[in-house]
Amino acid sequence: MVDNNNFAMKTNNVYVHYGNKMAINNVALEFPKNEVTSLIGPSGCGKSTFLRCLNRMNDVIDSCKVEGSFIMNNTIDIYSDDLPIENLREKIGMVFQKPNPFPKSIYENVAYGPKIHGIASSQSELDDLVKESLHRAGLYDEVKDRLTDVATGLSGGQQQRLCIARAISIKPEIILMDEPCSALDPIATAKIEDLINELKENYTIIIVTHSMSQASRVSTKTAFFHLGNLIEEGDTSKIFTKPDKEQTNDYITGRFG
Amino acid sequence: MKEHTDKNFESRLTAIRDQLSEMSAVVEKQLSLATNCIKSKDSDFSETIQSLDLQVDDFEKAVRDECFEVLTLHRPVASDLRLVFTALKVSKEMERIGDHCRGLSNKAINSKSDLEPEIIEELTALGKSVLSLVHEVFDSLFAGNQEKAKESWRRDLEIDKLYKSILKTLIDKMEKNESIVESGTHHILIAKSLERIGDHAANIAEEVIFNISGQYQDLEKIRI
Repeated sequence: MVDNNNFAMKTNNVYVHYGNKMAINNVALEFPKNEVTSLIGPSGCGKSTFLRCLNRMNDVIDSCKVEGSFIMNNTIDIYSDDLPIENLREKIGMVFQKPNPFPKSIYENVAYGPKIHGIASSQSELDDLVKESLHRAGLYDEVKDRLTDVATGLSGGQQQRLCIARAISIKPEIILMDEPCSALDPIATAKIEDLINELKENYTIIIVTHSMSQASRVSTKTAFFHLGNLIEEGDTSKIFTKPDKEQTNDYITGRFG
Repeated sequence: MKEHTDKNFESRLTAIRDQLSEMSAVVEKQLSLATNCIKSKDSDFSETIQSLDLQVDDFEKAVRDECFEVLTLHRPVASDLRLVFTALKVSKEMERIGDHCRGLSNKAINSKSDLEPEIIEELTALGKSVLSLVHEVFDSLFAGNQEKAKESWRRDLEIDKLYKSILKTLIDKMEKNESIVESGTHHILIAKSLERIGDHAANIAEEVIFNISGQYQDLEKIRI
């Protein structure tokens, strides 16, 4: 029997429309706790749209209509009117394709979230939280002597790790990543991938990636989308050795773009 | 299956398939000639078999190098990865079959003709069964036919039985007639080579099943 408590998020009957255009067509996906799930598929397949449904990022797009159930930890309906959006964002963090630090100091970037969510009760607690988040993001040693420097002066890879530190500073349960390495060089990418592997001990990670090799390296589960449909999902090792669907095989082997 | 969007990758995978196919034809020819040698002891075949064996060795190296490059440059996954993995392992099995053909034909040509014709007939029949098994398993490989591969794996069990029966007959004969011990031993080695070729065919069958299903199956369960 499947233990429902092992899923950080369960989605069912998900439909997304932009105006009259269907972007997601009846998708059901479950995300196991403390695992990394990759969403893959060609451009326009709906993977980013689906990811953005998971922390209600699509709410700000007027023409976007989201239907279906999104249940976190088997109890919380994330689309419930009773759940303030700030509380949801506290539980589900997000890292974007392009590093987007605030034009503030390195310290302030990480401290901002805990401050507005009232997570730290004293300055020393906030200092510890900033330090711990930077540590977890694998950035502390590189920036410890210049925490007051402006964050935009960091390299692209460092900025992205800072964004991850910012995301984890509010102690979310789920981290969504939308192509987090596409603007980074291979070394910075390797650092982020190492980090993802470490972070899964404490967080559930859902990552959209165009890189098939990245999906195979970092995730334990993979879901393949095409034209708004979920074609196949399963263990990453199975998807990349013997997928059940020919369409999946064709995509991951490069037989269609 | 659709073609790759990357034409270079597609042509490299096609090259691997083509090389395996040509290699299998050479191996079958080698085995056919080697089986003929058991009865004919025709030394003319020996040179041909040696030269075919060199071709088989070259094919094995070519497949290995091509697979290595594809793994390095194209990082295949799913059906492509299984093809490369299968090609590497199957080409090695084929190369071993080629070695056995060379060895058994040398033994056949250089052994005395002092055994009873029935024994030679039995050995020739074993050779023909093995040739047919090898042909069948190559067919299953290129047709991607899992059931045929399973059938080939089962047929190797019959080859094993036939080998044991010939071994017993030869040992009995040698116990009764010491003068045939030398040629009897040679023919035991010939039978052993044929039995080993059957094992290599069964190994290929396992690779064919993996190539299609993505899993190594416990074939002991399908023993008859």
